[in-house]
Amino acid sequence: MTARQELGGTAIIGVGFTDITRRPERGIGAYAVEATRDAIADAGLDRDQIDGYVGYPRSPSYSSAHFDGADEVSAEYLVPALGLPLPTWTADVSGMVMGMVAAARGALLSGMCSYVLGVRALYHQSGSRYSDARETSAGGVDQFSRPYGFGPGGGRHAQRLGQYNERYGATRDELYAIVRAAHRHARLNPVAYWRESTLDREAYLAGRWVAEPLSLYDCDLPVTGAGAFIMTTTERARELGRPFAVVTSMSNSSRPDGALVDAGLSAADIDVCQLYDGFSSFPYFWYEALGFCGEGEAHRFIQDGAIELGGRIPTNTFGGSLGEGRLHGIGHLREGFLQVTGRAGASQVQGAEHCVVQVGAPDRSWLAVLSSG
Amino acid sequence: MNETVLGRPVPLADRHTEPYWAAARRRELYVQRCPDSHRLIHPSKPCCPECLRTDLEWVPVSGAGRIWSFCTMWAGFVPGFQPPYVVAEVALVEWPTLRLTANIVGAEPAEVRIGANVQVRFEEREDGLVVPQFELVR
Repeated sequence: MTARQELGGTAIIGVGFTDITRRPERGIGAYAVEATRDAIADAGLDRDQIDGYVGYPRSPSYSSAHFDGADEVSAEYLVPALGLPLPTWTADVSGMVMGMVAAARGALLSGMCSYVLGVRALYHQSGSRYSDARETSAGGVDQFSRPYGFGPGGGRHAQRLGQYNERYGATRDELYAIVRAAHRHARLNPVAYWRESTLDREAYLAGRWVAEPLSLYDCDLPVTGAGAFIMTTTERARELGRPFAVVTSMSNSSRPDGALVDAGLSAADIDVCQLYDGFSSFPYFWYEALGFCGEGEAHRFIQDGAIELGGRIPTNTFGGSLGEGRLHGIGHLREGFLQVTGRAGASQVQGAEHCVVQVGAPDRSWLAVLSSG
Repeated sequence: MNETVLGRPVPLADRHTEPYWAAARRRELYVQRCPDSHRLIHPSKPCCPECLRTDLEWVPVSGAGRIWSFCTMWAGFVPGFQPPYVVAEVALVEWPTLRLTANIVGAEPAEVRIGANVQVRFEEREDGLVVPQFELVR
């Protein structure tokens, strides 16, 4: 038994979600609260039992004002708003949604709290342009990129994809398989932005370039919406007597396959994946790093429905960020939870026992294996 | 290049980066170097990532490199830029794992290739600002 296993485990016991829109008619705080209420009810808890909070407030929008309570929600803003009795542990972290799960895991296993609420809310104002970087100056790390017109639009990831395409002979036509899976799965998800998508190969290839070799439908879509989750120890989850997802193992980009290795699993044991797709090219890295295929083979591996429901490894079965909207991974976590608890409805992978949930750009990710409790 | 390019975001030099921009005004390309390992460092870091020394030197480099990767921006997200334009990662001949972000100027996007040889060229902007750029070696 490893030291990690001796500590016991953690589990996700409930998720909450709001509608997703491009034209919000209420504030970001309301979205965050609604997702929270939904998650607490889903876990079968009372609000007063929540004694931990974790968030990741940062808005990724280039046109964001970064005003707490207006287009971001911090722990300092949300915890009092929710009327929680003083939580014994609160944190806003880096590392996006799975960084939140990693932090919550540490807090629970150290005994600092018993039930952690995690909230991620994103706000896209009607009429705003996500990528509109209007600043006339650039300081800090941006001084070496923004003066070159670099930053918004996924240029960094377009460069990575260009490298990949050059090295392995991959094509835009092949990349469509990721977008196709996202849009097909989005049609099964009633809150997905692209729930009525009719995108086909021709429409995809007709999409305008944004940062070539990434084009319009390779980019996820800025939306307003919020999601929340509740975590506790595996021991308490069992006592609650409801379906739950065990956080079997976690790792980050420093050890991309660590989550599989630590769980004693290999790609063949994974039933379904939620791989972050803020840009369609991201999952290439993970199919290779996790051993679903060899290095440089992902662009071929994903063809012929291999990553769609019914295929070798159904991926982003809720539509992903490309199909559902840019909620920075909270949708990926929700779907991972629903899959291994058998609650994924129309997108359910039958008998799904282990789901990889990975969030972040390939070089800045956290990932977990979620398993049926 | 004598034509002044206007309206683009102005880099705000700080205590870590001022020598870089000062060198550019002299039409020289400088990067940081660790006094121990002579490892070259860019974009500027607070320390050598190996030994954590913070007293890094600034040294000139030739400005010769190869395009390690690039993308073509087709969206006008940043002030002063007319798409399409190329943003490349240039690997310097002195230290191939060190990469500078810059535009490839004086060429159409369709002419740009990964692996192409490039050379630094200095672009004048407003108020005496000079920005290192790269052009294809033809």
